[in-house]
Amino acid sequence: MTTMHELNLTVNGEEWQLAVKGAETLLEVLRKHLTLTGAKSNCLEGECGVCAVLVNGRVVNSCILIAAQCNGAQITTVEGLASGETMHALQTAFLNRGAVQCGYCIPGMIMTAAGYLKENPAPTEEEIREGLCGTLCRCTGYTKIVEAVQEAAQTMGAK
Amino acid sequence: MDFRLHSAKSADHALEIAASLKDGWRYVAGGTDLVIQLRRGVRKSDDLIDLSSIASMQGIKEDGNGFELGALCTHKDIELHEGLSAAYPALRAAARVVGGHQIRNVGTVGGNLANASPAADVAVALLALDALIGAKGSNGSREIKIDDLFVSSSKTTLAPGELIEHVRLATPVVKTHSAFLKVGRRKAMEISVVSAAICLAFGANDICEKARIALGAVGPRPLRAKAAERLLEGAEIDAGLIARAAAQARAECSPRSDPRASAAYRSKVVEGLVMRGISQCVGVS
Repeated sequence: MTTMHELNLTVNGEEWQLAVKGAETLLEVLRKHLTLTGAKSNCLEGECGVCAVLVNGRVVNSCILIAAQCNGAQITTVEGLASGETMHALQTAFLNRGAVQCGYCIPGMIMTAAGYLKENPAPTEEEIREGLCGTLCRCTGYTKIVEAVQEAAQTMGAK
Repeated sequence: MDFRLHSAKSADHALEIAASLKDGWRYVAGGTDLVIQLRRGVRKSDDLIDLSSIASMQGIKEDGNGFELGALCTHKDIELHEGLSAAYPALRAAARVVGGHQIRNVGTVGGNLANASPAADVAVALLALDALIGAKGSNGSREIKIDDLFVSSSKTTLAPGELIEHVRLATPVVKTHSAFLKVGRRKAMEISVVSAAICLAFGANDICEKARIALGAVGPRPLRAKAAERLLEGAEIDAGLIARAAAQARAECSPRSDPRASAAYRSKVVEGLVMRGISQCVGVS
């Protein structure tokens, strides 16, 4: 079963032409082919969200997304969120708020928030909690994470 | 997890590929259920036919008769479609409690139906809305009433190889109100312990002309509480009738106990959700 599929992706603004197996997930392509290890490989069942990336601007769990289905897609991973040396408002806010315990979920958390804020740029606290519900912090450090997303939403809205 | 992936360019192309393969192949769209089942090894498949790039099965179309949802439209597409949400709030309410945003951005309405989980939230809402399921197979196209689609857990009346192309919903008559309610063990990212979708259409003098009560996770398939519906139809709905209809809905299903909830608890929840769902619909009428 080694039929290879041509996969054209734009990842963090860079164009890639890859050959992937039918059963490879987007997460495997990002981590193994492109060595972008920001998206984490954890539950592999779409439950925990630490593999979250944006596909055409929408947040998805890359661990259960068949890579070959993403042909032609624009992918943003946590590595591509900053503009050059300037951090994304979410990254700045997570630092400001100390919204990190072990840190493992944070790339997924930030990408989940990035996707959600595109849909709802001025969320209430309750809406942020719902927006992040698909991504789990097993340190249970949600309070500061929610505060950071609130801060980022304000910063982004003020621009 | 290993399989060959065959990319279908159109519904007919998917049928052609299916006809050329040995048994054991599966269609895949968002893959939010199937990929997990394959990885866990609870399902094995050497060949997946990828429907996700079929252009004619994307998006939501609206015309004078109602809405046509391409089978590939995602839960998020449903949630964000203003016309559909205004016409049928129950459908939006169901779409937005499925998984987290990552799942809703990928999981499709066609997959939700074809997967035929008795607890599928969108399937329960569509059952209350009398959806018509457009299917295509080797014998051509047909439309299936949604109540005739479900057989049991993961079994539908779709013929082998037949695929869902679209879901049709009629424009609601003037005074139509719908509601979807769900109880899970936690608020988000949870399979329903019980779900209920209610759709009521009212005529002159606030007489209920048509009632639909659909229930999830209380039987082998999404169920209609048809005797409870008949109690409401032709009547002016008051608190006493709401209570009787809710009790009737409870009597019409025989849920099972599983690790999520006991049968007795589910029965009580059915009565509570149906009561609240009808009240919501009546409250806005």
